[in-house]
Amino acid sequence: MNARKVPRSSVPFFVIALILTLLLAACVPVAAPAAEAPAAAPAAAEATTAPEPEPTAVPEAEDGGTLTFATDSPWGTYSPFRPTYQYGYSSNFPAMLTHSRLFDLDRDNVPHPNLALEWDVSDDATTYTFKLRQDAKWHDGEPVTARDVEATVKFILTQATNINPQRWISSLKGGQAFYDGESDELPGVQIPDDFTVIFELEKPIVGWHLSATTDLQILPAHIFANVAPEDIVEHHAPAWYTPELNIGSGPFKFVRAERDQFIELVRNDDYYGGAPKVERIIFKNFGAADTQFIALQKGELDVWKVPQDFYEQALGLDNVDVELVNRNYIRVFLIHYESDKLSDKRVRQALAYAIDREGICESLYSGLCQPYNSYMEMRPWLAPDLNQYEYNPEKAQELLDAAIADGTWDPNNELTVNWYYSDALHQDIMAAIQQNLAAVGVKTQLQFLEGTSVSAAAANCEYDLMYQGWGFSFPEDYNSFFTDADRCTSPWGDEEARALFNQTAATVDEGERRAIHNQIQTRLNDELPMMPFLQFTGPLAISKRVGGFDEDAQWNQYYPWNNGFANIVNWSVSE
Amino acid sequence: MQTYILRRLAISVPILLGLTVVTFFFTELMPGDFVDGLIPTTAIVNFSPEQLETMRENYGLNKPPYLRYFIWLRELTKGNLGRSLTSGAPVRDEILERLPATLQLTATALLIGIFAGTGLGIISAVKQYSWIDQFLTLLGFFWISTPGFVFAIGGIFLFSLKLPIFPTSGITNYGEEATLLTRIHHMILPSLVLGLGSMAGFMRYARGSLLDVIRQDYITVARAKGLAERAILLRHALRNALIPLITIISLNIPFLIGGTVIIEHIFAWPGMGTYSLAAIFARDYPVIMGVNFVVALMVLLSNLLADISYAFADPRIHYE
Repeated sequence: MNARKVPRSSVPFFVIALILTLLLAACVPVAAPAAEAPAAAPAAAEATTAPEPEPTAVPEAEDGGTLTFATDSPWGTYSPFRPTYQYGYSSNFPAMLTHSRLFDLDRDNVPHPNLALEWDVSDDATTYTFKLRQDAKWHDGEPVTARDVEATVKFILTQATNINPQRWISSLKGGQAFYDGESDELPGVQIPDDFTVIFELEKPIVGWHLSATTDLQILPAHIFANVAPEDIVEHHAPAWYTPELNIGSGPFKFVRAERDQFIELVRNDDYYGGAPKVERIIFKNFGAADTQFIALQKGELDVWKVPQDFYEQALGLDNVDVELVNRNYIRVFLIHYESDKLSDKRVRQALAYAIDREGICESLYSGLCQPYNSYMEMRPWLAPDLNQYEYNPEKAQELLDAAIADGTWDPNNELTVNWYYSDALHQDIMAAIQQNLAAVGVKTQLQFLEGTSVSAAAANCEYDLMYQGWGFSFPEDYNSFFTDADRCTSPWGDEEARALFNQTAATVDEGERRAIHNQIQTRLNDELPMMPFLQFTGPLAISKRVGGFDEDAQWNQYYPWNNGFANIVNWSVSE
Repeated sequence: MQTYILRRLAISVPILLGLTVVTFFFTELMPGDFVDGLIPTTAIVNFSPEQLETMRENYGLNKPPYLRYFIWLRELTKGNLGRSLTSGAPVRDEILERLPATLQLTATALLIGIFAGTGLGIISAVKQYSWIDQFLTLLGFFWISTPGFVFAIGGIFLFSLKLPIFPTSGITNYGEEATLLTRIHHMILPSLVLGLGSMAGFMRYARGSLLDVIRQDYITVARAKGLAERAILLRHALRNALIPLITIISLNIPFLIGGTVIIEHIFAWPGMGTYSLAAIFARDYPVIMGVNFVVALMVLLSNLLADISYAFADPRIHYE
C-alpha cells in the first residue's frame, strides 16, 4: 500500500515538471526569430536562377538582407485600393513601396519625377499634361501606360469605392457627373497616346497637379479591368493579401501578408529607378509600443517612428541613431474673432503672449516641437520677420488692460477652449494653457470634443478657442482651405486675406505666389484671427546596421500622413 | 440532468440577448463612431459635416441605433454576424480565423494556472505557517495584485532582451512554417504571464480548501484509524478539496479571456484580443458585437460545463 502512495503523491509535481520540461525543451532548438527569415532564400534563388530573357537590370545584389519596420497602424486600412485619399493614408507605407505615383515631393515641396517624367501647365492653369516614362513596368511585366492613370482616376471617382476625392470630383471637367453616375465619360482625362495624360479642369487652379496627384498610387488597369469596385471594397481584405491583385510598379513587390502579423515585400529587380539594394522588407506587428521598443533594442526592428514617450530612452540606445524630422504639421488655435469677447486684436495678441509655448514644448513634448507663428507650415514658404509672440505675461497684461479701458474686454469673460486629441498629454497641455491664461486674468473653460462634434462645433462657431492641427502638401492647398468653404472661423472672414488668397489661386508664377503668401502671413501674424501655436519634430530611430539613410530619406516623412522613404532604393543593411 | 441542461440552455438565451443589448448600447455610448475612427485627427479639419454624413450613410451608420440593433439581431438568427466595416470580410470568418490562437493561449494559461497553482496550494497547505507557506502567500498576493501588463513587459525585458531565450512577440517566426515547436516557443511567455494571475488564485483556493477539509470529522476518523498522513491527504482530503476549484476554474475563464486583450496586444498575438482591441479603437461595430457575442457564449457554456462536471465530481449533487 505504501509502495503505491509514494508515486501518486508525486503526480501533480510530475505533471508540472513534465510540462515545464516540455516547454523548456521546446524552446531550445529554435533559432532567433525575425531578422534571418529563411524565406529570403527561395526568393533570392528565384531572382538569381531564373534565366529571364531580359538581362538588362542586373541588381546590385551586394547587400541583400532584410529590413524590418514595425506596423503600428491599423491593418484594416492598409490598401492600395484606397489610394491614400482622404483617409487610411497614415497606414500606407507598404503601398508607398509597392506602388508608384506621378510625382514625389522633396522636403522643400518641390516635385520630382516618378512615373511622370515631364509635365506642362497651361497658362490659364486649366490643362495639365503629363508625359509618362516608357520604361516602367508592373510587377507582372506589363508596361505602365497612360491607360493605367486614366483607369486609376476613374476608379477613385467611382462612388462605390467610397473614396470620394473632393479635389478630383469638383475640379476635373465632368468629374461631378461621372461621380454622380450621370455619365460614363470623363472628359477631364484624355490619353492622346500611350504615355501622355491630359487633365482638363473646370476652372483654373494653380498647382492642382501637385495637390491632386502626388499622393495618388497608380493602379494597374489590366488587373482591375474586370473587377467591380464594389467587389474590391466589399472584399478588399483578402484582395490586398494576394500577390495576384496587389500588383504595383514600385521598387518592391508584394509577396504575402498575414493580417495582424506581417507584410512581406521583396525587391523589384526591374524597377525603373534601379533595383533596390535591400532584398526584402518586412512590416511586422511587434505589439504594444513597449514591445516595439524592446524589439528595437534587441535589433529585431530596424526603423521605428519613436513615440514621444520613448524619445529620451531611444537616445540612450547604442545600436540606433535617432534622427529628427521637421514635420509639415502645425497646431493652431482657431479663434472665434467675430465674437464680442475676441473681436479686439489686442485681446487675441494678449492670449498669444500669455501662453508659454516654449515651456510647453520643453516640459510636455520632450522638446519635440517649437513655437510657430504662421498658418504656413511649410518652412521654405515661411515669411521672414514675423512677430514671434515670445512668452511675455506683462505685455499680455498691458494689452488686456488697454482693451479693458476701451471696453472691448471684460475681465469677467470666460473663454471656452476646445480640443479633440483624446490622450492624457493634451489634457496636460490644456491645463498648462489654462494656468498661463489665468495668470493674466483670463478665465477659461476647457472642453474636450470628440470627432463628429469637432466638425459641428467648427461649422457652427461654437467655441472661443479651438485647438487643432493641420498639414498640407502644398501652399496651393490653402486657396481652397481658406476661401472655398463658408466657414465662420479665421481667417476666412478676413476680407483682405481672402482677396489675397484668391489672388494666389490665379497666380501661376511661383515667385509671385510666394510674395503674396508673405503678405498674407504678415497680415495674419498681426491680426491674429487664429493663433498658430506649435510645429512638431518627429524622432525616427534607425538601426546602425542600415546604410544609405540620409537627409533625402526624409522627404516623405516631412508630411505627417506620408510614411514612405523616398530613397529607400539606396538603403542597405549589414549584419 | 438532461432537464437541467435544457433548462440552463433555455435560460442562456435571454441572458445572451440581454448581453447583446448591453454591448450594443454601451458601444453606442462610446464617443465617436467608425467614420471618426477612420479619419486621423490630423485630417479631421479637411472634412465638411456633409462629407462625413455621406460616409456615414455609406456605412449604414445614419440609421437610428435601435434599428441597427434589430438588423444585427435579424442577421444573427440567420447565423450572419455581419461584415467588418474595416476589412469588409465576414465577422464570423474573421473570428473563426482568430479563435484558435486565443483558445491556445487561454487554455495553456489555464492549465499552467491549474497545475502550478493547485500544486503550490497543496504545498502551502501541507506546510501551513512554515516559511515556504509564508513565502508562497506573499508571492500569491504579489501575483494577484500586479496587473498582467507589468509582468508582460517585465517578462519580455528579462527573457527576450536581457536573457534572449524567447521571442519578443508574435505567434511564430515569419517566413517559416509554423511548427509546433516554434508555436510553443512563442507561447511560453504570454501564456505564463496570462496564467500567473489565475495561478495565484488557484493556489490560494487550493490551500484554503485543503485546510478546510483537513479539519473535517472524516479526516479525524481517518487519522484515528491510523492511516498515514500522506494517504489521508491524497486519498481523502485532496479529492474533496479540489471540488470547489471546478467553480473557480469556470469563474476564471471570463477573466482569462478579458486578460488576453491586453496580453495579445503586448505580444502581438493575432487572436481575438488583438482583433477586438483594434475593432474597439476603430469603432468597428459588427466586430465588437460579434466578438462579444462569441465570448459571452463561451463563458455561458463554460459555466454550464462547470456545473455539469460538479455533479460528476461530487455524487451528493443532483440537478433536477
